Amino acid sequence: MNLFSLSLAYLRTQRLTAALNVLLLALGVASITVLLLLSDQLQGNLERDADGFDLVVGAKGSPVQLILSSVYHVDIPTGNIDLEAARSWARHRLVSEAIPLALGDGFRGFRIVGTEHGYPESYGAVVAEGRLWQASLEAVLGARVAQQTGLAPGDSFVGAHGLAPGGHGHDDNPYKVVGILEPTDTVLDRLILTDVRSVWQLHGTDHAHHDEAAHAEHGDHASHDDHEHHDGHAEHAEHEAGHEAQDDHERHDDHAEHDEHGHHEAHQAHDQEHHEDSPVGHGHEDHAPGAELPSILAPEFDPAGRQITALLLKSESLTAGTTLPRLINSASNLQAAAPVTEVTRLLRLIGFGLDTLRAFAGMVILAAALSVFVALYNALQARRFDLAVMRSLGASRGLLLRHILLEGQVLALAGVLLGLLLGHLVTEGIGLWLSNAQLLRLTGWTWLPAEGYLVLLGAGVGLAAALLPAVGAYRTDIARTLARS
Amino acid sequence: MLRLTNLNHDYDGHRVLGLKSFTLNQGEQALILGPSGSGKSTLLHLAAGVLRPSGGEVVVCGQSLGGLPEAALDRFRGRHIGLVYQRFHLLGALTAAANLALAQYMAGLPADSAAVSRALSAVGLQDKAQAYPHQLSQGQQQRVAIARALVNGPRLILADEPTASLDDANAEQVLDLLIAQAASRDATLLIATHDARVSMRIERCLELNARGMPA
Repeated sequence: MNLFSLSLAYLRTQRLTAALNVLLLALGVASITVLLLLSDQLQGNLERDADGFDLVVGAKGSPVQLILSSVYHVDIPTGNIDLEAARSWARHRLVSEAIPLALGDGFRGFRIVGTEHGYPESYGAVVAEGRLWQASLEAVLGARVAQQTGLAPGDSFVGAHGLAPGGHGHDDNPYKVVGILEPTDTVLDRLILTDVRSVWQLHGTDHAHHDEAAHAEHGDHASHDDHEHHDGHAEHAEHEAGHEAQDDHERHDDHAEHDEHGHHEAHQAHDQEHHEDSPVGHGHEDHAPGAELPSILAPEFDPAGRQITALLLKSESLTAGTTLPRLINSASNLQAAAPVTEVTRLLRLIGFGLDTLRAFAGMVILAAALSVFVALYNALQARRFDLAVMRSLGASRGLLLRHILLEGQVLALAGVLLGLLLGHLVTEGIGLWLSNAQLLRLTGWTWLPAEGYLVLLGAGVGLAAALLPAVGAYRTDIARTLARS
Repeated sequence: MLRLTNLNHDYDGHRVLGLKSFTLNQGEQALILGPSGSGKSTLLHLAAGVLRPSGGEVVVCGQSLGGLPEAALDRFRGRHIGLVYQRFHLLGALTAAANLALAQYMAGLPADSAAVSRALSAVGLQDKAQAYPHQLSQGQQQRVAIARALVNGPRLILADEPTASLDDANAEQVLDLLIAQAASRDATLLIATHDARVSMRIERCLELNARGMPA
């Protein structure tokens, strides 16, 4: 027999009340836990994905959209930019490294990113199996892509326009998987990487009659109406953005047969690639076997008529991070956005929501504290005689005080522990649910230091709720209580 | 071993007890008789140190209770004085055995399950050790209460109307137990009662009148 088993015995007699109080407290604590884990991991994810990139250069439009599409790969691109214009910034003296991105296609919901080896390297990615791409139409899969599609080196797949499965296929030009990356816990895990030239090849940017004016005007969606017969609006939008690079839309519509247009382009592209740097053409003599294709940003590469979606920049110094965007935004019809700035802005927006939710969770905890108080206070009335008997058996006033306080602590601790468990389970559940949405990598299996404060908060709630009843127990007048029996 | 000297107690400005001198030797058994409101319970509470007297002295086993600070008095009571009440004496949340173990814990004594078993056997309820109070009859509950009062080996046993809620057969059994167990342990026994069934069993008695004075 000790104080703890005594408190437990009393809680057992009040099972339902105790359970309800524990549950109420647990719900409040769980809500806060979920919010803590969510905001921490969201911020961590956002920061890790953008880590290393100081600036993103893309077509004019919403800077948030540019960051979301080019860094986090969750939104459609703002449009495309001419390689020639982008390249001049890539070689700017304030830029230490530049990585091109060409977006537009996907495979089973995973985005295919035309880029260079510097991209996975910036995330510290390690090849788990196979190797990085060394030729057009060679693809390297992020860890999650490999896991979910089951593709392995040597397998082939056909990319489709847009992210949604079931878009127009590039049936004639399948990608060949040459490597799989180790998990990096970044956006890289859900990307399919290839050379920029693969994207060009599939989308036939080599058309001679390239209408620049039509692309520069990203906001010009006049041609949308003509595209109504595309299935699904989201997919349509993806398609649209991805295709800004390829050609002007009026030309597309000249090919009334939509089924054929991909086919048609592919053919044209294929023909042209053969004369340039196709892996099967003489192009591969341009670089040593086993090495990366020469950078499209190199001065030797002819940028004429080529387009990319965005350019990721790392700048030389901190000051460059503020000077460059101003320079780019004013001196060209390109847009430069700093991930840090946009992420901070996003998080601030999300922060308001999180604060509101946190206030609600706080109110639930307050309600739980009140409920525990009422339960203990009522129990005290019912237990006055028991407390007097304990005193007559030799218990001191202090012991009764601790007995009631302990009971509050037991309830509070049970509530907090259950709440933490619930919170982590729910977070993991959200993570699994979101893994299909691909927006946020969320896991319930991490522990935050702030959760230690939740335990303290719970202890405080237990203490506050039990204090008055405990003092009541402390003050029990034994003789009068016993005499009343 | 129990010595009450010039003991008086006031409640709400009224004298409820006034006792010049009363002494019980070790192992002696006595009754306090008197009508309801005559201060019988008050006398027991004063003797148990549950209540501090308005004036006078209570000495138990050579220890003046008035000289003990509160926590020490609680501990002294837990170890040396066994209390039995009319009813509501067992903690409903605990089994019979746990009620006895609680008495050990509250008195600051080490847990001694053998002593618990012995005390329950002494009242013939060893097979009810794991029963909760609500599973026991009133007579059985009172016997468990006696076992709890005995478990720490008290030198003084104080019982307040221990038979008042019981039928004749149970009253007899409970009284037999109290008298026999106190005698076998050489514990002093003082029973406050207005139950005629009890007065036939113990010779020595202190009779109080309605004003709390010896009659």
